[in-house]
Amino acid sequence: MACQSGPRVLPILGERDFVNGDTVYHTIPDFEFIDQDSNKVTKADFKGKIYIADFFFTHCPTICPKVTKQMMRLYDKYKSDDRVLLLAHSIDVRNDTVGRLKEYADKLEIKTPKWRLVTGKKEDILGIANQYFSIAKEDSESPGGFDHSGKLILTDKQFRIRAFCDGTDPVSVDNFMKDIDALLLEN
Amino acid sequence: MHYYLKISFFLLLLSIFSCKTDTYHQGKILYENFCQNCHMEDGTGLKNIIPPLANSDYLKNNQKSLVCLIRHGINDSMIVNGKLYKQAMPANLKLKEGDITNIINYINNSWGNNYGIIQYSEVIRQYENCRNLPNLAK
Repeated sequence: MACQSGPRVLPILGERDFVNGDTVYHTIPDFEFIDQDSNKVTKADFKGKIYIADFFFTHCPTICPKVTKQMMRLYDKYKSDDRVLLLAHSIDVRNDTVGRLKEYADKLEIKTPKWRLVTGKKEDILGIANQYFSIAKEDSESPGGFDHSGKLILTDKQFRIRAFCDGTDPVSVDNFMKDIDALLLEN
Repeated sequence: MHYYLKISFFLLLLSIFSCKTDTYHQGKILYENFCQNCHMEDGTGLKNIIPPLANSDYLKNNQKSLVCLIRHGINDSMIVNGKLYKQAMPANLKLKEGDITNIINYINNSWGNNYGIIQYSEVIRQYENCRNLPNLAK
């Protein structure tokens, strides 16, 4: 990368189609979830923003606390930057009620519009994980009953995926922060 | 003779340094595998959800009940450094007495903690209190 000049441009990830000579990129489809304050959350809430998505559940006995700790770093870094939002999807929709998400958010001392913890229909949550190229599925063999990746996914203003990192690894998240900053320069 | 003296001095130095840096090596590996996901590499836990082990009055003051806590988890609230924590801790039934000894000695003496050494015999003694108990949390 030594020869690169100017700000780094992030790739646009995922499959692409070519329609009438235009490139059509993979984008996150419409969604409708409920956040910790019982607000409906849709794509409209992220219009004109870039955001970081992840998948977790509140009683997760494995990697989630580590990933949440890294999300906390991002929250702290971009707390006063209105261009960046965080969206954490609970994959255990049966146990993670709005009340439980609210309790979790309060304990993390996070503010709602900046970092939304959402729940919804099971198939919608597990379905959208695929759209973010993340893994989230029920698995009775896994601790806590779910198998999922600790990925953090960066989505741009056009709802295209631009970067991801391993949310259990602070060094990976350090680099991810550089990606976020690069995307902010682009917009 | 001089040569052998030099070599043995070098070996002595080597052994001192390698032992010093590796005091709680087994405990560290076990901690990484069984505890670190929640309590974190630096023992700080997670906000008001998972209590810290680093500089933790609870850890310091509950040395007599640590073995069963680690092995069976807890499904009750606890106060650590003045803060209330309610998240359940899962059981660790795979951990044997020797593993628990190593883990306690690691967490008791890491991140600035200086909570002393637990003997294997003390772990066995505490373990008797919960040997046949069902899991306290799942």
